[in-house]
Amino acid sequence: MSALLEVAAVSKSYGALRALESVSFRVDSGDRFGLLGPNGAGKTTLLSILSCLLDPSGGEVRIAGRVVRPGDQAIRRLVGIVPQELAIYDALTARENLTFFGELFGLGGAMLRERVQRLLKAVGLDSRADSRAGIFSGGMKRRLNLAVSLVHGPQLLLLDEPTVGVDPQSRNLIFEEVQRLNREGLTIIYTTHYMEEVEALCNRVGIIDRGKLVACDTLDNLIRRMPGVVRVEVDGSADALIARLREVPGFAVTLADGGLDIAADDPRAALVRVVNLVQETNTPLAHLETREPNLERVFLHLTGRELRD
Amino acid sequence: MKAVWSLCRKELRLLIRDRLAAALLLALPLVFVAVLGLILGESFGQKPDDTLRLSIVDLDGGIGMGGKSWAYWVRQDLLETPGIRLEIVPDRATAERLIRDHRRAAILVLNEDFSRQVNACSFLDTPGSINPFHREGVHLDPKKVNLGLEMLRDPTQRSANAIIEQVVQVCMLRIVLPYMIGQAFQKLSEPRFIDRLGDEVRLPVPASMRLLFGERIKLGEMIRLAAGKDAKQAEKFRESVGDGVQAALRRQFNKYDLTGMTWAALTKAKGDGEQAVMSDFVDREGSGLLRRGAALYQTLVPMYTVLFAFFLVLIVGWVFVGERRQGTLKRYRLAPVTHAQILFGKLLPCYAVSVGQGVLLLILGKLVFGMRWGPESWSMPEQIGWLALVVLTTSFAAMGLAMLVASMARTETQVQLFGGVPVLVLGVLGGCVLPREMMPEQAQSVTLFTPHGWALNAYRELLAATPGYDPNLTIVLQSCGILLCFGVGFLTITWWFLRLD
Repeated sequence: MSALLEVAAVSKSYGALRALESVSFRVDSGDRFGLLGPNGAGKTTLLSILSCLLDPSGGEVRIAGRVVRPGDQAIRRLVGIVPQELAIYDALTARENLTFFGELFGLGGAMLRERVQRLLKAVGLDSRADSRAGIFSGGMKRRLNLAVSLVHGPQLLLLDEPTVGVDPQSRNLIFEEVQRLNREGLTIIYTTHYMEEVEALCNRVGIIDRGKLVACDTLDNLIRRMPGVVRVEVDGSADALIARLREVPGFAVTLADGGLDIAADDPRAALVRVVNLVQETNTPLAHLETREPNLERVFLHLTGRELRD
Repeated sequence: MKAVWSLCRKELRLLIRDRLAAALLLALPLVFVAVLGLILGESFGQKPDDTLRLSIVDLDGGIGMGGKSWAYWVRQDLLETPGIRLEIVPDRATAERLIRDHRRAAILVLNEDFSRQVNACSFLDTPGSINPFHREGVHLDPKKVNLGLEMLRDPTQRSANAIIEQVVQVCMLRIVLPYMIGQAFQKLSEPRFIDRLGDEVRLPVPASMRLLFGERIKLGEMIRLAAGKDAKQAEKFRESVGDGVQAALRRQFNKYDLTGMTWAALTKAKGDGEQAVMSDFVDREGSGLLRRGAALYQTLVPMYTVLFAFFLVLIVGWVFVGERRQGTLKRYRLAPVTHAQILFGKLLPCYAVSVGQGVLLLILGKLVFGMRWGPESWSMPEQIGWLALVVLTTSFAAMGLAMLVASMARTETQVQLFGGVPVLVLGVLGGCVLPREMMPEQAQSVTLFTPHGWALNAYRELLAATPGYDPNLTIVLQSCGILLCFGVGFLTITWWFLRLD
């Protein structure tokens, strides 16, 4: 795969505030790259730099081999951005919104009309094409917001938390459209603080926190880094059980919230072993569960805090 | 260029679909003009004038003195009277309506026979002669003595019409009396008077001749004796008697020219140079419920056209802030368009709306309020051409300010602060609330620090209340030039301030 986007040691400062610190990663053509981080982590700043809106204080960004500079008009044609805000005109119809933004990119004539119609259909707004956006529901507006970002046919689509305040039906439509576009070859960068969205949509994930990229890998690799956990809660003394568990190679036992967390690479195999040891030590069991490694635990592990802190 | 055109179309759509803005831009100024048109007096917008207005109707078709009608001499006399505004009312019907509507306290009507009747005024008691005098002065009541004139009076304004009547009395005395004296003086050389004098004057006869003529001899007898049988010589002697009497009287009353026929000539007095102002009557009041055609609309319509042209500053500012908040402005930055394209794309439709607003208000001003678009002597294209120049330059200055405010304001509150406050303050200072003519003198010069003041300067010149007014086009061009400078200045600052983030 060739790299469509290369971010090399990008920093951004606002006075004393370091919004981004030496962020580096690459996104290949056809990737669905999730950029995960809590509010204020630097995601929007990074997207602004990627979309030529901001100049980095240090480092370099290349899109399709071309160094990104604010004002570079050719780069702008390669990038589409779905901003957090509903950047559409309420007083214009869905069709007028798409046509207007298409014209800003120099499109026109039958090609633009056809593309607008195709996009309206893709985001499920073809039946409301000539209604003013102002009367649309939040979800419909989000879908129109997405379509507007696609009207000029970008190679790289940046989605900045595109499902905030969206109903499930619209969220699904957005997901479907993003996946469809990706299948057609569009490269996606998707920022969110919803883990499940990244897990559902992205094949590669970057985790950003306090302006630093703390991890960047495929989803599987990131999850694989984390052990599974077996959670045990008992009625009475667990001393004998703890002593036996600590003897098992590959188990890491910690006391937490009145129970035991046993970390192991294979949580299912560990569960069987734990049950056996509970029986052997006659420990009165109150609660038992396995916790598979997931992105949220990866994030917690890497940053030491919950994503929605 | 395509991007600019797209921006323009989009902006126009947004502005047109914003009904509140449309109401603010078109309906509000019309409401203001209509309401103020109903409640303000007819002299609104005119320079306050504390001189006495004397209205006359001149219907005189006769010949009086020097080949001119006596009405002409009345007007001349009044014009030489300081402190008077002489207003010429076109006809009697208008005069009667003005009196009936209590818009004038009194109007002097000089009828068709005025010259004929004045010509008949004489000290002589001959058939057809008129004695114009009574104890108070000159007869102004045609029912008593018809002098060919008449005073129309509003009975509800007694004090005012008493003052006007006194002015007319004095004027008529100055007209009739010198004429009658002059006429009388000329009679001194007429044969009839000399004959009468010859009969009346009896001179003592020297003692040596008393035998022939008695103790006294009539002057006429002496002339006949002196001339013998030569009739021509007798006539010559009579003339020289007349001339002698006249010369003697002239020498006796050498401070006066008794044959002068006019007050100035009679009294040999020279005016102090101050003259009355004469104007044709303009029906400033208008007609109908809306007082269509009232002169005050010549002031009100431009005032509110200019004020609301600058109110577009708020609309444009709100549009910009809305775009900032919604992120659509950010989309421009993501698109391959330059700042200049964005600026023009925003400016041109707003400018078009502003010009449209100005044109519509002036059209409605004409259709609804019956205002004039310029001097009556100008052709319609000429009136439209000059007005268009003022509308275009006013809108340019207004849009320059609008873009400046839009480029600086980040929130609706800032639009109010940067736009609303200056627009109102500039409007008040510029004469959009109180006409410049009604401001104290020191404040009048302040109006010219504002674009509003210059815009109104140009409109005032073109739309003066007097239909026959000849506008000073240099003032119009100068005002338009300064409005252009305001616009360019605002846009230059805008270029530095414009941030799309």
